[in-house]
Amino acid sequence: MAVLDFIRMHELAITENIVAISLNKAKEAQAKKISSVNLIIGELSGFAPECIQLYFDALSRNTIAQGATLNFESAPVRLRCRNCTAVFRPQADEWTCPECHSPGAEIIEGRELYIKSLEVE
Amino acid sequence: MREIKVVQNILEINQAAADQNRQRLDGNGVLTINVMSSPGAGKTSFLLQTISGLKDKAKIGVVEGDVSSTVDAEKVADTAAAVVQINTRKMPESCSLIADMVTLALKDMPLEELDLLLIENVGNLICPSEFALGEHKRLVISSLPEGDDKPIKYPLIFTDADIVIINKLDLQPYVNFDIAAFRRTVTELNPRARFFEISCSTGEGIENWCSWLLGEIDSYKQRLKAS
Repeated sequence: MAVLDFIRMHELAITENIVAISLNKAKEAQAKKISSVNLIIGELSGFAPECIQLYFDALSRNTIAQGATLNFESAPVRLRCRNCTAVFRPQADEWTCPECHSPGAEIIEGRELYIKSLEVE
Repeated sequence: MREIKVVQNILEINQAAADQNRQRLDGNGVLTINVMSSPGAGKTSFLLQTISGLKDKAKIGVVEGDVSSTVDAEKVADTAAAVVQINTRKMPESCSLIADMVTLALKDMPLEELDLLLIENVGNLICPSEFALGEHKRLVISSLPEGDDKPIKYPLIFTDADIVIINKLDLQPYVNFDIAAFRRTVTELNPRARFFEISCSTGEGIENWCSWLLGEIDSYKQRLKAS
């Protein structure tokens, strides 16, 4: 039976991607240093910003992203009622439609995780 | 100082690896299910019951991402056609499988011999919901002692589930789990979810689940042929 070993939190996987995308975009723009990375993170997304910053600091060492600050902007949850199609923001855990009071809703925003922009020198 | 606009989804990289896994699986005609639950909901028992229920009817491979003891892994290895263990056992900080890990595991799988691949994800209701692995179906197990409020606390994993298994049905007399309310909450999040109520201890509901799954393997193969 094959056994493969891995030690990692799921934030590590995505932080590797954040570093790779940032370095790539900075290179394209011929930047000498990345001072900050601006990220959008949905309220429903299961990623911890502190954890991403920690991994980022380690992974960006000896690159032009070393010392860069990650700025996280939270994207609110927006739902669409499956019955009347009203779009609304849920109150805490209550996902009932405020218009028609039906309980079924589809997530239209709040799961995203993307790099919006970089600040470079 | 200047600003560069980027707007790039960070999970795209995992999604690309998942898409490649899916292509490999489709190339070999292996229906693949990502099995997720909290720790202790019965993922390993569920795999064992499924493997024994489909004995002589389907060749099953297992990717073990969550192993609570070597005894479990060996039991699965004894009954499945092939097992690859992704070792997260000694590492409590590993919280989810990602597509890259499955890519490596698939290299050690005799895919051409298999009809079905079951991927046992790490016991966790948050992290695994973020990472596609290349699976055709996402399955979530909820067990009665966990309480019926899990879909409210962890909506994402239930929103994306194709199959929801309600396990430990034999404990119904001892716990306050309102099955109807649970099903209603999940259906409100996700009208697509298909439910199976089972007990891995008594075997209740397993036959029904296995015969449905067998039908899914057939229709998956027919869809592949047609395309």
